[in-house]
Amino acid sequence: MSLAFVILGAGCVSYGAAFLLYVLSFAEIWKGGRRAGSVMLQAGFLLGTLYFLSQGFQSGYFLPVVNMSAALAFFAWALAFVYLVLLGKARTESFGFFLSLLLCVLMTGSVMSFGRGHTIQTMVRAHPYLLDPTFVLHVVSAFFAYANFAISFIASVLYLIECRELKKKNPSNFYYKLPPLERLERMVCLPLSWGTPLLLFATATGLMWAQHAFGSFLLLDPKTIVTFLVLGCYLVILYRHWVAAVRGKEAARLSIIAFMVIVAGFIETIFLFGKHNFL
Amino acid sequence: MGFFIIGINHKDCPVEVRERLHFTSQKLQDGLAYAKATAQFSEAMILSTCNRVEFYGYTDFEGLPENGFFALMKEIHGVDRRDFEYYLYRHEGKEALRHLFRVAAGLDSLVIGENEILGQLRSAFQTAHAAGCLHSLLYRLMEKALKLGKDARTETLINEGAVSISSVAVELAGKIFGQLTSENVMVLGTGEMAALTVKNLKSAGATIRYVVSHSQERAEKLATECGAEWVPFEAWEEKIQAVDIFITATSCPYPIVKYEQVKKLMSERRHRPLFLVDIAVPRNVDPAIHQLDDVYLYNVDDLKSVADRNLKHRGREIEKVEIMVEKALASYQSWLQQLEARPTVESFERYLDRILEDELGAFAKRSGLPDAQKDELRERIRAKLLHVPLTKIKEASQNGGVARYLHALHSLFDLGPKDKD
Repeated sequence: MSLAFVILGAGCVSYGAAFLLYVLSFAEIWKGGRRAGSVMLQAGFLLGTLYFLSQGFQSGYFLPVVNMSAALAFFAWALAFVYLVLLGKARTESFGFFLSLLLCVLMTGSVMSFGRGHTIQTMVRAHPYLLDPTFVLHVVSAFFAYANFAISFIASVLYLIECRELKKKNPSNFYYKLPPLERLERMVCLPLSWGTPLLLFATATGLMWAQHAFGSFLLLDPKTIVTFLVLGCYLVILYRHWVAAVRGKEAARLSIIAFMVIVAGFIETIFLFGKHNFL
Repeated sequence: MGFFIIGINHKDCPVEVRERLHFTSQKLQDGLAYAKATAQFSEAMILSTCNRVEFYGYTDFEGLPENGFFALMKEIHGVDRRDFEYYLYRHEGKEALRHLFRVAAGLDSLVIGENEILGQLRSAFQTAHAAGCLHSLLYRLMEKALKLGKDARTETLINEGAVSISSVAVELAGKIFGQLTSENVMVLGTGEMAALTVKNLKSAGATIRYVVSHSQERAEKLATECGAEWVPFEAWEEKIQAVDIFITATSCPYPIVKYEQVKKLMSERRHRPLFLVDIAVPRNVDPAIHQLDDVYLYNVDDLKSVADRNLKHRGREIEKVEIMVEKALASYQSWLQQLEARPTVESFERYLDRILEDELGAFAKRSGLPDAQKDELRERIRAKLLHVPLTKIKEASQNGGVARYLHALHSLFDLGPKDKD
């Protein structure tokens, strides 16, 4: 059993423990579960950081997408980074509850698929152009963009649930665990403001890298087409938010729709066309 | 005799009687001074709130020191025992301890889990301590009770959720706008409920911008108190654009705020949420407004149902807090029993020391054992002999069986008369 696997497994266990602690707090079994869950979430994030550092030092490369295990772990790490670091002040119990579940699922997938697929060495040997710094920038910014959109999506769902509960006037127990609407709205809109420029940057670096590596922008690649579509959706939302001052329910609804486009695009490219058709 | 509590509370005693027995700050000082000078009370503390008047004490005398209590009430309040004796409850020993812990945890309050009682209990404790009425037993007991009260509120949900109309309005505003900082409030009407809600919102951090009323005099009084501006009734619509929380509480018999007005307003506000609190009966706000996106309209019945729900929710936590009360009770009783056992244990230790000193001294003299080795041997034998009885006594202190062991020690080793604790 390698050290990397142990660290990855420990990260997964931390997220799982965080989820269970949040459940205890949600079910009103242990009030301190909220704080303990938050600590475990942070521990999971630190273990994830350690995992990528150890992988980088071991292989000499930093390319967290060479196989499914690495990609899932990196996406989980990016989600935790956005939530814990960028949205640090807006952290809430209910959000941690959902996020820890998502992180746990992603990390379980990563642990289960550990050791399968290409190693970084074989991948680099087969595709030496992957070592181009532009490609690394493209990958990292794309992952962070999608992590931001995922956070915004979760916040949007919670926002709409809370609106419904407030309208109902006879709120369920769940309502009492939700953060204020204003805070959720920030968690809907802030990640959109960060994610959209990041996706724009990822798209630009991706095109530059493709031109450099293959002599073509690969505009007809299914993933490229879907990315343009997603980018268009988020640019429209940002425009509506900044210029038309759209907020509240409408911003939440738009964020959900845009994330659905991401999911649909992901399913379509993976199951119908495969990944980037050059890989 | 030990601990006792004599008191009245909101459950059985009418307010007319409670108010006659209430201790003002000066009366409290006088009452404590009187209790201190009364031989029947070794330690004393008085808790006086709008819902209860309770006398906590410790006495070395046999029987409940009722006469001392009635004399104190007569001296301080000038009331005869016949005027309130019917409503009194009396608890002694374990029941008295349990009652105090339940009071501290908020289980005996009119509103279950309310926080005020803990502050009132702390204040009563500090006042009694400053007056020199508390010694080790009641002091330790109060520390335990205050800690339990704090733990009950942090570890359970006994104090969660607002339970009054005005505090529910503030809680809902917090749910919509987060921590209230710059949210603007406008109030239509100057009735008691409106004023209370506005003051609660202000203390939660909201900015009270406008007080709207036909009566300039009454509106200006409230506006001055809240740092707001008076707006004539006819002009409220011009000001609502800047408002986030709108409270209506007029006696107007028809809706003042209409659906079309708010619909237009919301498009101008670009979906910035608007919280409408209609505490007027008949209602001042068209109920259809609640259907609009980002508008949250709560009338007095809605607020009451949230308060009732919160209260019910608190009720579900009672069992958890009762368990905490029993644990605290057991822990305090264990401490008390260990304290009571101390004189006997010390006598037993002295008895052992005497025997060890005599026998080991003689043996050392005969065998030429150096003093250092003799002392070491004595300590080892002493520790081994004491270990089992002390452990048994400690264990017994947790389930109330200490007296039996103490009696056995006294009988078996002829330790002499039991010290009076």
